[in-house]
Amino acid sequence: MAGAERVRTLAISVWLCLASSLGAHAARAEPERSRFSAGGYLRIMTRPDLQGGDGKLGYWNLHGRLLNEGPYAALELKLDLLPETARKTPWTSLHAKIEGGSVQGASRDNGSLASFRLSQLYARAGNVGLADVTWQIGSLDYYFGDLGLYDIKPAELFYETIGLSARYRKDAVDLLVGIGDSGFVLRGDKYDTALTGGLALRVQPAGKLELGVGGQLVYEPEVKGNRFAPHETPGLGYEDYIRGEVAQRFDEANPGRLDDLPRPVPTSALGWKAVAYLGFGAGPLKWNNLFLKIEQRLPDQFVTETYADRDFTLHVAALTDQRMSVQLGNEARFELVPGALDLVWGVLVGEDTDGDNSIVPSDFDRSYYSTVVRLQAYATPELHLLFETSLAREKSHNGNAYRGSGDSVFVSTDGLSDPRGLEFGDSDTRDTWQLKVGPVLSPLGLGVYARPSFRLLYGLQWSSQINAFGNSFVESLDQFNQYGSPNQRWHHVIALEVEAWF
Amino acid sequence: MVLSARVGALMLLLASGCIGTTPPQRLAVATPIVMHVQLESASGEPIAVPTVVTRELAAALAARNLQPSEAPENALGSARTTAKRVVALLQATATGATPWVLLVEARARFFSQLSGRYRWEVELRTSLVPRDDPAAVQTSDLSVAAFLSFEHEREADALLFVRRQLVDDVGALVDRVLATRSH
Repeated sequence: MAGAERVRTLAISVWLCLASSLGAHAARAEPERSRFSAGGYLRIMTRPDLQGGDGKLGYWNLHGRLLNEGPYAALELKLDLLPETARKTPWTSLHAKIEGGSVQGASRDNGSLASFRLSQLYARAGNVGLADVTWQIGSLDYYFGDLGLYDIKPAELFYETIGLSARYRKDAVDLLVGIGDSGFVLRGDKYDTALTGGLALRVQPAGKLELGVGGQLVYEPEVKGNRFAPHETPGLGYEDYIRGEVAQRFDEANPGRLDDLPRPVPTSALGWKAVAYLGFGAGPLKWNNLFLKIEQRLPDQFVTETYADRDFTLHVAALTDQRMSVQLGNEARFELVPGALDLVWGVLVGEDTDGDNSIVPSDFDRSYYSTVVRLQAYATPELHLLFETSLAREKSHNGNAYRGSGDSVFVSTDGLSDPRGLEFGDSDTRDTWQLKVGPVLSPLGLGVYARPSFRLLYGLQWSSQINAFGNSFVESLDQFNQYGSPNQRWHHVIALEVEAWF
Repeated sequence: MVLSARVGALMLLLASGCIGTTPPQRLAVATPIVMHVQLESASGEPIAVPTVVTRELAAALAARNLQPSEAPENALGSARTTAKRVVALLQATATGATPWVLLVEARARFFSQLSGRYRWEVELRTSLVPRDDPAAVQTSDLSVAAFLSFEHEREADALLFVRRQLVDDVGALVDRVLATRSH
């Protein structure tokens, strides 16, 4: 190095070090950052509906989340109390998440803060006591990923749980163990302790291959005297329970002895969930997520019947403890023509069974099958054309649950009029097809999931059920006589909406 | 009907084309510049920078009539602060005598799983240094969020996600400096 060059370099060093000591901008060990940060998500839309609907194309996400969800906003706050500055050194952070589905002008409750909740609050600490372990106290929600087309997370654990988790992450292994209590989410104002424990293991044996398994147990112990703890009222008949006629039947069988209606017997309850995940990618298949969930739900607590001007509390754990749910979901993302055309293909299959119920249609006793395909073509990096279509079938296991014609409010047993019928409508199957198409402006460029996304969409639905969308049409014979009922199988929606993470 | 559809499509295209079309400042004479991008994890471990990022940065510089070349991979040595890194970069590239040096430092931190995405925060600092007057170094700080779809996507993917903002920020910094120098 020439002498002059050495002198100049030395001068630079001195100047820069001086600037550093004075706290100048260019002297930090890393780009300057605040210890407080906030992130979030929002979607808002207007979808004027000229067919009597509430702005959603169909009933729910089974047909793809697009045009079937309402407004939503989430804000997560994070404070790095002790930032992570070097590997294996302690760090800690605080998190709070507020979210809800109401915005003035975009939903029925017009932005009411009552629609928002503090859904998560937790603290994390890493490398404290154990290297490569992150401790978390507070909300423990964890999931392996989601089905973006459906906005559904089949492989999710600890969503309801407040407690402690330890997560070990090193190289290709990611193991989470958690314990806590899920009682407040599961039981609300009828809180009862629901001890929860479980684990999730994710491994990445190769760069484009991931496997995950997990499970959780939820246990409600027997607590004598706690009226919100699991109990069984002996001798309940399922049909009487469904009809709300237990006390009446007892009175008929035992005249004048209503005081002798069997007392509840304390018991315990157990629910569990097992999840599995497989992720992989190859070639134009950028990534494929496959999820499986098998769940045994916790039984219900109790119902209250009013008979002869008296209230009777009936504990129904024994009538609701055989509810199983199996859900299988897959989402594949393809880059068909790089920079020009992407495709996302989703499949969702569900089987809900209720071993106690064989007489009344219910969301706990049904099958559903769905597939959604979204194509996104790129005219420019910022201007996209979106095309999505879905096909779904829902089938009730216990008779009719769907209205196929305008006068179906009159039929409730095998398609016949029956004042005592437990069915609804005139079909046990609902088939639905949807189409969504329109331009998308994406300031941040290419990608099906690039956000923010400004969309002008036209949606079209055909369903075997009439008026198969949120509406205010008639639900009873009384209303039918007043208003009549349109027989609409086709539904059109125009949507102007924006969705963003920030 | 067909005509109106075509007109609508044309208007959308035109609207789209109007986004971000401010022309970059161009040097009158092609000028070499050496650049280096340093990506780190939250704990400071270096991570390989995706080539797409350096390629798009190079394109942004070329659009300003700068001739980018990349510094040697280990140009920063063990330097940890921006100041020391600038010095190290100047020294490591002294033989080329390029009149400009560009250092981009990026640090990606996981924020949380947020509504179906993996939110990362990427802190970016760009330092543009004239070799003949290093004290006139100009810096730009930018903090942007990346929203990744999958757990296996990490720091490099976060930088990829925010590369457009990075390129815009670097371009704006270069334009600012070039405009100042041209007066």
